[in-house]
Amino acid sequence: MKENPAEQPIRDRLEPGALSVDGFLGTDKRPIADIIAADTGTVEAEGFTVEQLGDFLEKLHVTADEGWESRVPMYDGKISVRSDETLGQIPCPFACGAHCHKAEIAVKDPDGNDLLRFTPLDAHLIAAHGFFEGKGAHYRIEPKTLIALYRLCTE
Amino acid sequence: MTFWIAVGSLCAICGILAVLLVIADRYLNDYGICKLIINKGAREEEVEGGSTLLNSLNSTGIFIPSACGGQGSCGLCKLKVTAGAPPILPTEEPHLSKEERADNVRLCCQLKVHENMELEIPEELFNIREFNGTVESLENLNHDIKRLRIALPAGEELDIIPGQYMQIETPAYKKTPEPVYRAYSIATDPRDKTHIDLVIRLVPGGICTTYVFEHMKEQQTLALNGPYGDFRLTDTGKEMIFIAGGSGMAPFLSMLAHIQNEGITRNVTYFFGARSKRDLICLDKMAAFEAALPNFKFVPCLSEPMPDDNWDGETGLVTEVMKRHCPDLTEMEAYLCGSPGMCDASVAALTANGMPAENIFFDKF
Amino acid sequence: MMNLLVIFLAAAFTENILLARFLGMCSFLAISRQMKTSVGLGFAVVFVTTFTAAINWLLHTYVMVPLGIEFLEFIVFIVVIAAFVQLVEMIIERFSPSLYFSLGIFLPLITVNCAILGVSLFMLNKQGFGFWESLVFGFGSGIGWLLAIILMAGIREQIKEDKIPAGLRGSGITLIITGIIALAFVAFSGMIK
Repeated sequence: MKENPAEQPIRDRLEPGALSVDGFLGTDKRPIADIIAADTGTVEAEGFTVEQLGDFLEKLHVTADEGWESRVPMYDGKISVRSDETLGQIPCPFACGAHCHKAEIAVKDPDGNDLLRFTPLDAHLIAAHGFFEGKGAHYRIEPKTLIALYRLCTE
Repeated sequence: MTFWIAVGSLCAICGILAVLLVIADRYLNDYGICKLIINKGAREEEVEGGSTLLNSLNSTGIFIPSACGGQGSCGLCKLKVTAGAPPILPTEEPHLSKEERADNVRLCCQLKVHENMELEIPEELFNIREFNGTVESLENLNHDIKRLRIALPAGEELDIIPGQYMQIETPAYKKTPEPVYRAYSIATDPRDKTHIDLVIRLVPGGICTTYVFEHMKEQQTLALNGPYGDFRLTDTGKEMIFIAGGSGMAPFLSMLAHIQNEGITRNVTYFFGARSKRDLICLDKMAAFEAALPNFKFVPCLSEPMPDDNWDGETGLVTEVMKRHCPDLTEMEAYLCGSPGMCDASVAALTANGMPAENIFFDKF
Repeated sequence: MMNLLVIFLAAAFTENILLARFLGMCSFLAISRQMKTSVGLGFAVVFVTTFTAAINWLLHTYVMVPLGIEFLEFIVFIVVIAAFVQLVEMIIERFSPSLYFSLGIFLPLITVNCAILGVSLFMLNKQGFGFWESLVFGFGSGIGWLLAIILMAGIREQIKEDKIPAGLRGSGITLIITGIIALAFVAFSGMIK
């Protein structure tokens, strides 16, 4: 399979220093299409869709936003979310025209242990592009971790 | 023998084709001198055709805000082009709403100048200039916010309207191959025309803020351009509410200085949201403004004060505190500066207490 | 005259470069998603095949054969095609920027579109082709490619909403449809002996 010529500019934007200091690929050397295919495969094998998981993260983000940087309990207190926001927006590296807030949302369990940290851009990347970031990237979300969190909240 | 004939004729063929292409390029890519007719003839510029409108305007000294440097990803460089523009390009489509398309709004970093063009540029963009400033001081306001004071080059002055912002250029450094531009609100007293103060909060993984926090040194030069933006105080005389958190304090520092300079007596209440005491900034400045302005009140609200903060001020979400203080907002105006999430939450709280949406102004980055 | 018409019909239908020989599939699969871009790329291909066939015939007959360097035909042909595509690119950019952007990378990729080199090479295999025959052959082949991509774009716009098994979506179903259209084109073979 020829590498899609459209992929090169996307790869450039995912590299460190283009949109963020550390980039989105970590130590992952696979073609972007393969990264996406592997992760969406994992998600679908578990009986979920990437849209479902991305929308779930977006819901956590929206709820956290309303808290004005304080901790907001969700799902009967099973988790709590808090958003650390900074000014500015980051464009989607896939150049689909979406712009996301710059923030980091921390999801914790009632004992204060970290369950997940993600950015609003992750919610978009997962829902719209099935991209969970490359292995070793700072905000890489393991599909299994996210599915476990989804099950914890909804079951 | 055959070998030399082959090489010779191949070279000849390639040479002829190359010459043909050069001639075609000269003919096809020559758009001559094109005229840019700005604001119905208020200003006319002549530029070499073939380049993007953004670059053509830059070459005539008109700076259009653009955060991505002309890559078509930020969507800031929108301008109305009423004549001489080709149909909307696929690279512009994601940034333009239906109304904007009907209104001839275009992304000027994508559009190429191929013929005479008529366009409309907001008047305030003509004031935008580029400077090579000097970093005069770099001061920690708290654990993750710094104040950056930049001196303009000797002899240069800049008039700003409180609420406007500047763009600074982060030069290429080890973590980023190309310079990037980021926008920050101006926190300077508008009487001081030779300095620019910016309040910058560290963004984890942010290219520009990482540079400011880890690499920037005092006395280095820094390229900046501006001022931009139409976030500003109205002259309605209505009572005002300011809401901000973190580095969103910047425009209000400038606005409060302006209020003090002009002797404006409107009532102002400033709700500042933070998590705990360590997140509060500029308390001394706020105390000074409160002492100088009898109609100004600063209300810091902590959502999660720590036990050893010994906090006896307002606790809770800034939106809740604001609602408690101002049950009826119908005759007031609100000014917001913060992340989009904060702005959205504040707008919801303000309208819930009766504030008309047109009285809410914000700088939503 | 009759002869030229036969050459044209043969090139466009019975020996359709795409449907009979399956050349030029890469851009065909990628671009046939949209009618507008398909028509644009189709005409670009028509333009390039017609003129490269004629120029290559001239070069072959009057330069390469007399000098005895026919073995260079691959290199010479591809250089001519590359230069010509550059020219077409400039023309499209000048006169239709929006088409230029929607064709994107596939416009320069016409250079390596095997259909175009194929047309020039098949032309040499035909016995007794003169200048006009080559020109018409190139034009006919281009029209054949245009016809195929328009047919495909029309069908793909129709089936966009249909439920296609997940594994077949995209190029899978397109290849199957191409095969069916190719079978239909076999019917033309009786038209010309």
